[in-house]
Amino acid sequence: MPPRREEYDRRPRHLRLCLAIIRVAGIAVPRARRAAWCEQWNAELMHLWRRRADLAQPRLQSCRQVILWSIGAFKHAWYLFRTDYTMDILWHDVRYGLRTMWRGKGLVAIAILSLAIGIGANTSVFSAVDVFMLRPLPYPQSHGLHTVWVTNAERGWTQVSYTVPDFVDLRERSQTMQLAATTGGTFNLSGGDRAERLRGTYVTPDFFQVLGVQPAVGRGFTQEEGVPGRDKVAIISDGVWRRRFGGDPAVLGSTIILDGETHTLVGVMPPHFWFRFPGVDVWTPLSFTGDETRSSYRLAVLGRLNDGVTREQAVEEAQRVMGQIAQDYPETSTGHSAMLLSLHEDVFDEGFQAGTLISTVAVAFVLLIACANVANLLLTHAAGRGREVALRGALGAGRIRIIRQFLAESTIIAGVGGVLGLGLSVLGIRGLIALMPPSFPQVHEIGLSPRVLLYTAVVSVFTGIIFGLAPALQSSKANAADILKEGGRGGTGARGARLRKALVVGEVALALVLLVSSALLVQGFARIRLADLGFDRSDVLTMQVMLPEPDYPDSASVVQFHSELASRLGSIPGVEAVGGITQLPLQGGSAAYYTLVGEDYSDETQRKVTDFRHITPGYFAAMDIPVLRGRAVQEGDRIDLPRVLVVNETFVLRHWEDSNPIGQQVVFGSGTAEIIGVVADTKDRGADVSQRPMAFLSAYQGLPRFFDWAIETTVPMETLMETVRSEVRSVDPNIPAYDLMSMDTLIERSLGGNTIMAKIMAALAGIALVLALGGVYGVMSYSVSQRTQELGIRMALGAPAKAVRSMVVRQGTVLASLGIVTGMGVGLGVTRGLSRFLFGVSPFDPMTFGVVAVSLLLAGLAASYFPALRATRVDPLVALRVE
Amino acid sequence: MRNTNGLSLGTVMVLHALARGCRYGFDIMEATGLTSGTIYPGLDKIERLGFATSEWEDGKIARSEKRPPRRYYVITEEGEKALAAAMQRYRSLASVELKDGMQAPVP
Repeated sequence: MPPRREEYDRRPRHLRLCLAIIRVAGIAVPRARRAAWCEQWNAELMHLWRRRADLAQPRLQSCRQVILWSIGAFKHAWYLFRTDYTMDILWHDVRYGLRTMWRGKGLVAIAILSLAIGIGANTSVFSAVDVFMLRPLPYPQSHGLHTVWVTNAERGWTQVSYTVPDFVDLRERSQTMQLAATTGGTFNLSGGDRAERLRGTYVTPDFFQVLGVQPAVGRGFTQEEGVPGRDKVAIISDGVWRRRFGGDPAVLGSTIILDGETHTLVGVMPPHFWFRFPGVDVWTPLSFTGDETRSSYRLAVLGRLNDGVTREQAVEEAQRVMGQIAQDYPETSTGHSAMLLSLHEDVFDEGFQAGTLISTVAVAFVLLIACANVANLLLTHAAGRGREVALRGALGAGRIRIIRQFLAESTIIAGVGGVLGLGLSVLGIRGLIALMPPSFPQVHEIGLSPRVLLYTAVVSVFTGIIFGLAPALQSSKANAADILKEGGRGGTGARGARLRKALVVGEVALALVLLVSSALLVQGFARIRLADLGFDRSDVLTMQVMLPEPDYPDSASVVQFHSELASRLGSIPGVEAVGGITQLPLQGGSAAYYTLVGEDYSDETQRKVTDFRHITPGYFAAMDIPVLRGRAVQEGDRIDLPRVLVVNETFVLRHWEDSNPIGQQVVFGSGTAEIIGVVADTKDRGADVSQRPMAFLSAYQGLPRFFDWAIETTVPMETLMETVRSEVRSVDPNIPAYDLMSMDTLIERSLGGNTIMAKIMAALAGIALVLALGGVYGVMSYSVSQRTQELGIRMALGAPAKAVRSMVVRQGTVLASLGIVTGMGVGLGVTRGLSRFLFGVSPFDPMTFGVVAVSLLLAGLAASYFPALRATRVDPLVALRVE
Repeated sequence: MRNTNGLSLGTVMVLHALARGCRYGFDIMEATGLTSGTIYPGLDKIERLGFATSEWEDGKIARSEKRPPRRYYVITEEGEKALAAAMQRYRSLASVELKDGMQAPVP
């Protein structure tokens, strides 16, 4: 018998606090025992309080003791909860849950499938996010690694490579960092049965030391090997070692021929070694002659912070050194400063960060939609069980007990969904990896790592509990008497229906956001991929060759090679036109300063810049670029004749809007050239980059060692590949033709990193759409089945089938519309974050929003049409007999 | 710290206090100095294992003494046996004695 209420109120505040604590703790106590339990604790509390009063202890001390004592009620309650909920009961819940789930197996299967898809998508994306963003880079103490860049506010430079003298100065003066430098290159590896083109990097000898990774076999470079003349040593990748040398350690010390020069092999890097980007197969020492200028910016500088040095100190020092350089060499370096990026920021730049963030949010949306589906289906399932729950309650099951039963069921669903999701994620991860361009590092690491598995487990359990809780609370709340009176028809009444509808509205809203995002991304993707670049890229086979300096020392030999190759390729049956160029579109570019004859540009920063390429005569024909004025480059434009120049329209517009550009002289650093023709503009740097002026020079009047070829074919290009290779071999067996592929593939590959977002989002949006429509369908068909009786009466009273049908469809449409309106609001906020990946498509494109909204509305209509159809098939007699 | 009976040291101390004549939770707390979070679950466990029985005291007595009724616990024969076995196993229990000046209240 607990103390009476009026008695409490006379008691001091701390005692009332204790009573409140006990009452809260009592919630966990099984219902059957709760009253007695509270009584016992209250009684004991009174004893304690009286005893304290008797002992006349200081008030504060006794307060503390009493409150501490009442905290023990939680331990007691937890003990009772634990012992009451033994494994027996757990097992009982599970068995019972499985039985009831079997009865509603259709709904349960949809719930599990929804969850599996949601969890599978999340696991897949998380596995990539984990590798890219959460793991440290695979170098020892990688947090100390940074890249150093030149900046220059006056010239608008934010991240520019170092020049050799600037790097040497920085390295000499730096107290805070160990510094190394790298620069990219490519090598012809000849010898053996066939020549091969390898991507390489020149590195300062201490590079591997600074990075903290040494070759797995052999050694790194020594300081002496950084001296010109002694630098003909090489380290190769594990891949090349196994492919070309059968993984034989004995190759160390033997020689290989790179670009026609003999190099001694000294080491093999560990498998999957990469620095800044993957795909490098050869490392050779970067040697400085001392003649390098301060205006050739080509070194990527790697720095490792010394122990105890902060990044800020290193930045401050680098800026100070660059400031000194700017003072000492004003003509080249005025305004120079420096900035640091952590190597992780450098590798996984803003594009990666934005991309992973967007994917994570999108995939979380998919999971939310899946969870809403699960909650919805469970609510539906639970609603059909109103009578069962009421009976259990009437037979003495406590509310907690019933909630536990529901939780056990939803946890089973989440568990099965999680396991299935894990299975789906294996496919998802495989698909994700297939989408990634070769420039993404660490891709081989993506997979089901322990951390990913833990993530999946947490997500599954979490979703199970959260989304099992709603139906559990709903059904356990219902009043037993009401339900039994109701004839077991409903159970959760209007409140449950409202919750279900709210969930559907939320689902549709999220789906709309994803659909709009993916529609925008796909448009952006299409814009850069399918955009008119100004040339015809179909039926064009591309390849690359490189002529090493030792074998091709002068212009004559280079020109000889190119012109012989051009004529051999041109005579292959099925080849329509052949053209060579120093860089095909989207393969990077070269730019040069120029002046016009008669103009004075004394200030270096005021000089004009143009892109330039060297081409062979057939290039415009092979690419179907129209010559608008004058003539194209011809066979006769050789080294001993005046240099000729073809410019694009943008170049012309810059200087001769109204006058004739033909015959004008343009002065480059290497000499003067005369404009002989004008061609249409081409988007050589991609559709998303503004049009730039371009100057085409004759390859036969230059020294183009790196040369790309475009071969326009009239037959399927696959049939020509081997012939093309053998024609290159027959000109020089040591020169490999590499990267043979169609122009479409070449462009696709160059855009890889930009288009992956569109592909991922399209996949996720498709999933979201299906899940959300499933949700609309589920709710509508449930509501129809609940209203069988009512619909039957309506029809019995003469309501036409059409009216009943449209009533149901109208309800579904209202839900979809509410979701669409909500989604529009959210979408307008979200799409702004996508702008990086939209390539000029407006993030608020009204057309996209409109089309997606209307499509979603129509899909919602369709999803509620089938339940509506069923509603009209209700036989009034059957309907009225339902109970 | 558990012995083969599955009784924790705290529970054995509670059982020991019951054997020494303590009869309700607060009483045991004063005798042993254990916290409330140990004593009450211990009492439940002891009762569940059949080592003690409990009943609420007559409301009249409580009212005449102007206090809430107590729930009294009495150790059973099995309880005595279990305690003896536990005492054998628990050497460390030697240090557990009723505090000075404390007497088991006489009902």
